[in-house]
Amino acid sequence: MRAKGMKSLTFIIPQEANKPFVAPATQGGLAGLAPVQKPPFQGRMSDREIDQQLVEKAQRGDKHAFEMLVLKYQRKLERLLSRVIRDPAEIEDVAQEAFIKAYRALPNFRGDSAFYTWLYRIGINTAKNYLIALGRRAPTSTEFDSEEAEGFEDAAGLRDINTPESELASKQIAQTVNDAIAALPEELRTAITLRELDGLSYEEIAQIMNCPIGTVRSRIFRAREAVAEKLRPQLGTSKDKRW
Amino acid sequence: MTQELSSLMDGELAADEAQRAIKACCDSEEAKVDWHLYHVIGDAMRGHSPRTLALPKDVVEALKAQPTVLAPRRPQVTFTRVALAAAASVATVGVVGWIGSQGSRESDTPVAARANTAIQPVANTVTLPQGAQPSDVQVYLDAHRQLPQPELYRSVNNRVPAAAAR
Repeated sequence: MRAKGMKSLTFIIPQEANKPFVAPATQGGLAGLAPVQKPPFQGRMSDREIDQQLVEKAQRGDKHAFEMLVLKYQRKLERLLSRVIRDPAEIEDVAQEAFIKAYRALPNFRGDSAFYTWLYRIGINTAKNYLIALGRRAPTSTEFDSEEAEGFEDAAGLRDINTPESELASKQIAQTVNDAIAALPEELRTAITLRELDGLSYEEIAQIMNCPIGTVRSRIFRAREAVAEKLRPQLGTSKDKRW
Repeated sequence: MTQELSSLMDGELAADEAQRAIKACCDSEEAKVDWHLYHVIGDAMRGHSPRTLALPKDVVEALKAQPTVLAPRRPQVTFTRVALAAAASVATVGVVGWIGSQGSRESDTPVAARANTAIQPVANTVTLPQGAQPSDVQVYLDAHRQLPQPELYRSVNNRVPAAAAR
């Protein structure tokens, strides 16, 4: 079943599973779809505002709110730390220490910067101190400016340091996700692709797909649920049995 | 609830809906797993597949072992607070000004007049003992006047000891 006026999307082959999910490159973004000018969000909570809500909840003593921040940023922080530390086990330890330091310092966080920028600084400082304690050379401060924290998305460093086992596990996860997305009905696949890869808002996706925002919301959720259902066995949990 | 969670991570909920979704997620371990997986899916689609799908249990356990942090509530700078502070300042200036103006009015009054008004009541309250005549009082006052004797005005060097003078 194909949505009206839409072309099928191309998916990456399993051998390239660790590469990002790629929609066909055509002029103006997705195939057959006009480029969209991003309208400003109105009445919605931005990513930073959501983080601020979680921080304030944690500052009032709710550790679960901080857990949500950990779950959200753990992988990103580890990717970042992989530029400073090469051993994956050490990266995990330093990331853990950075999160605990951030939690302890939470009363001092005023929200002047984004939570992740603040966490980034703590992570980099923790990594530097860790290397110094081991007698290794720590990177200079100019190598890691806090300004790059927000836009940091480079996974190359982490791939280089992966052990064969972790490389395999990473590929397996990527393949599961890509296979699950490839198996989705086209309207779900398009909706989640426009959201996750193009970063479009629901309103923009609704305009492109010519459907109500509520439908976009539902399609993205159903797409995520379908992929998550494929991942749960690898996580060791199912809907019936959680950690 | 999971649909709200999905919308929450996309920043597509209004403030009140977002707060409800955050609370629901904080209260449910199942919802936290969904929150984790939804983020992993996004990362994997962007080519950032994690090395493991496992939840960061070590971090969560270490977090549980930490004493709960409680940040003091930051005072909200509201219009009411600013207005109250301004009103208090104006009232203080007013009171100080009024006190100052009262003092200056008193100082404007001539000294002689003030002296008269001050002395007059005292003079009026002098009462004589029964049977005493004003002339007796004058004798009494002369005998007890506090004026020093003339020889006390002489300088110390010129003073002649009483015994030597004799």
